[in-house]
Amino acid sequence: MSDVVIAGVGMHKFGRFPEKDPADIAIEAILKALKDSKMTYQDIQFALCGRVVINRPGLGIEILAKVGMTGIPIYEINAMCATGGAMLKLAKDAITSGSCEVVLVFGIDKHKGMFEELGNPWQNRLGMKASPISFATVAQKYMHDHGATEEDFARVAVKAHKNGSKNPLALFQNELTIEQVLKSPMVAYPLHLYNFCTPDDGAAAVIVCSKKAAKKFNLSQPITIAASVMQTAQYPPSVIEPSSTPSTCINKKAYPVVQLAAKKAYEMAGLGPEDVNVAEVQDTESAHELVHIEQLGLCKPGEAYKLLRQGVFDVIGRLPVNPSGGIQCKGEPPGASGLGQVCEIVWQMRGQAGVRQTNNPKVGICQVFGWNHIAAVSILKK
Amino acid sequence: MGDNAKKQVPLMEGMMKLPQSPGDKGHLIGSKCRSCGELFFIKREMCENCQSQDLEEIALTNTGKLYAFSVMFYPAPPPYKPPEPFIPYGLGWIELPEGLVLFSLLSENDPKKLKVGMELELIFEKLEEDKDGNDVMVYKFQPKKAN
Repeated sequence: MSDVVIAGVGMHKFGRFPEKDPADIAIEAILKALKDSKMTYQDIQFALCGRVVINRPGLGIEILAKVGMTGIPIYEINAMCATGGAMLKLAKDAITSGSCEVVLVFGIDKHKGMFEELGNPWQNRLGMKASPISFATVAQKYMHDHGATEEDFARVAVKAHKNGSKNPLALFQNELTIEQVLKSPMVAYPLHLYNFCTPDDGAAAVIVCSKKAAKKFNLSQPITIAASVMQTAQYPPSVIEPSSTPSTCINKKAYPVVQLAAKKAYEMAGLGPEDVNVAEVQDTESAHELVHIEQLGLCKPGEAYKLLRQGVFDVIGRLPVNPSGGIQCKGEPPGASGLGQVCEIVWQMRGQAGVRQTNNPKVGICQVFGWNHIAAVSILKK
Repeated sequence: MGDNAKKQVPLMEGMMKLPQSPGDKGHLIGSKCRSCGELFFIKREMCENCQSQDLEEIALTNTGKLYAFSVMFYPAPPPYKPPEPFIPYGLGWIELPEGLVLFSLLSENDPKKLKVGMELELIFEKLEEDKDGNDVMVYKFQPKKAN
């Protein structure tokens, strides 16, 4: 099933652009991806636009019309923070089905603050489901179960900023110290302000095509999408996974959605976690970077914070994680953030990541997770 | 009690049975699927596990153990109405003896005083007055007091 490849990627910087029309932000990413692919807009046969928070219905169609009216179909996709990965799966499926050869996938968002009204109406009235809380309960449980500390979570943020400060497309361009993270205000125990990703603006675009098209366009460094999976909760839902679920049973074995998606993705790719050389994982806050590394099977449960201490996940480590700086440093425009991961892994695999370049990765994994038990996992191969 | 007397009403139907008389502690309402036996907090019309619509209403146990927690140090976005001045509030997952874990506000807001595994008990607290002057009640869990 290795018949779908990434032909080009492009990103508009993630940051704050209050004066800029989101359509123009998206178009910049699309034009960069087209240039990168050496294809023209006329070659695109199908398009997907991810937008989650930005309240402008029809924005994707408007963007396409501005780039060029070629009459192609486009769908707007919202899979919360998993939108980018979810779209990559759809694009792969569209090509595998034979309905088209070249797909443009792009995401755009402007995200100003905390999500409003994530939970049920009564939960929101009580302030029970503001996103920091749901993620923080998981962080607290991780500390309790495995012996990690607030300092370990701070170390994740420090790594994110160390990497992201070398990424000109990231919101934050500064490094942080463990002390600075621990001294930043407590938002939701045990997580401090600098442990969290920051909602911001941005766009990313990826051009996906069949292997046949890749040959036709004589692509020099196509990256294969070896697997792409989207997953929602499978009963019983994993206890305390961020969601509006008011209760769950605890007597039966429950699997986190990321773990379920990863298992399917490895099977589809014919690869295992031991084959992965670089990873971009959903780091809504520092603790979930560790939780997701473990749910992807990249190490044993409870081991990620120890490996982090040893530098295993550094850019120069054995298994670099979030060399882009992750959304802790890039910020998170949810419609675009998943494709931002794909851009980074493609640059890493092509050896185009500059000062963030990891050691010649052959297999990379992208993982996104969103509100209400939703995840997507994609495995990319050189 | 006359018609004009102030009443206590639950935040939502199917969520809790408020105490009706002295000595009655009230309880949270759950559903048990008659087909597969799964339990849910808050009355359900359909089983999330097997899609059966044959569920019976049950009373959930009033005590449990703290499974995981957090304390929110900033107000959640609307429609949450923070008190003035804002007071941090605790939240947690509570493990009931029947094998159900449910999400609840906690009366305790000091992370140092919250421990995974600690015994908690259900209480009801006034949230606000509704337009008819009734007290709208919510459920919370508090550290269990020694008998």
